[in-house]
Amino acid sequence: MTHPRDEFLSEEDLDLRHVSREDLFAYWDQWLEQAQATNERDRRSYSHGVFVLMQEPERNEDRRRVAERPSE
Amino acid sequence: MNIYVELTEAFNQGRLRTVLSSGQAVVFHQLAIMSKDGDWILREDEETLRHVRAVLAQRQARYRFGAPLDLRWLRGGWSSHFEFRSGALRVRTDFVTRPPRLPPAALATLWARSQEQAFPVVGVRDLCELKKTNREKDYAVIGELARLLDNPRDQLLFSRSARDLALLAEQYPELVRELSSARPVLESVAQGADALESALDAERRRLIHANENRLQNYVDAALAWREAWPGIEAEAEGLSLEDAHRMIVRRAESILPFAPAGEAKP
Repeated sequence: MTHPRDEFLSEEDLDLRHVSREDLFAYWDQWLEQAQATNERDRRSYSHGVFVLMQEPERNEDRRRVAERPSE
Repeated sequence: MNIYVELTEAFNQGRLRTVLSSGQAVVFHQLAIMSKDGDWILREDEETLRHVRAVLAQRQARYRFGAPLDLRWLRGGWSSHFEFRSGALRVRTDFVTRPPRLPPAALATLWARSQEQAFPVVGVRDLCELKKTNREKDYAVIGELARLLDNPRDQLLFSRSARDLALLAEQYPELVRELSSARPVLESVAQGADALESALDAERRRLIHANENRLQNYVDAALAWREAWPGIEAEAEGLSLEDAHRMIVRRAESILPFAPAGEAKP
C-alpha cells in the first residue's frame, strides 16, 4: 500500500531533478527568455533584498512614457 | 552559458567573492525555476565590492533604487540592486553581505564550504533559512528543500510536511524532544496530524509576519531616500557606473541611515 505524500511543487518542477546539467541550463535559459514577457509588469518590483515590500520610485517622465506605451 | 552562471564566474575571477543565492540557487539544486532575477551574497570587503562594480560596469549596468554597494550600508543589512540588458534578457542583480536569518557562524561556514565548491552556491540548509520570507510560495520550496537535507536533525528543523515529520518522529523520538525548544512545532507531533498541520500553518504565518516586520524597518528607514531617488537617478544618467556610484554614495550619506533602527548596527 502506498501512503499519500504532502506535495509542494509541480511535477514539472520536480522533473528538473532528473535532467542533466546541460539540459538544466538549456531549460533555465529558455525559461528566462519566456519570463521577459512580464518585464513591463514587474519593472518596479523587487525579487530579493530589503525592498521587496515596495515599488521602485519612478520619475514623472518615466510614468508618462509607460502610460503612452501600448499594453502587453 | 547561462547568464547567472556567467556572472557568478566573473564575480569570482581570481578569488571567491560571491555565492549565488535564493531563487537561482534553487534552480542550481534542480528543484524549481521561479525567479528571473539573480541574488548573490558578497564577501564583506572593499575589493569584492570594487570587483563586482567593475564587472557590472563592463555590462553597462545601472543602479536601481536601493542602497549603495558600499560596506557601511551592507553591514546594516541593506541590499543593492542593478540592472542591465544581455541580448534579449533584462538582467537584475541583487546583493547583500548580511543575508537574513544567517548568523555570523553560518556565514563563516558558507564561505569555508564555498571555497571548496567547483561552483559557489548557497547550500540546501542555508537556503531553507533564506526562504523563510513573507511569500507563501517560498514555504513550498522549503518543503521540497527539506527533503534534500541529508540528516534527520535538519529535516526535523525544516520539514513543512506533517506526514514527513510524523515518520521522522517515529524513527527519532529523542531528537524530536531535543529539538522541540528550537522548533516548537515539534511538540505537536504527539498530538496527531490535525494538530501538527495547524501548528505548521501557524508557524508559517508567524515566519511571514516576522519577515514583513523586518522589511518594514527598512521601508521606513528608506522613506526619504525613496523621495530623493528620482532626482538622483536623473543625475546618474549618462555617468559611468563608478561615477554614478560615487555620486549616489555622496547623496546617501546624508539621507539613508547605515542601519535602520532595530536592525544590526555596522
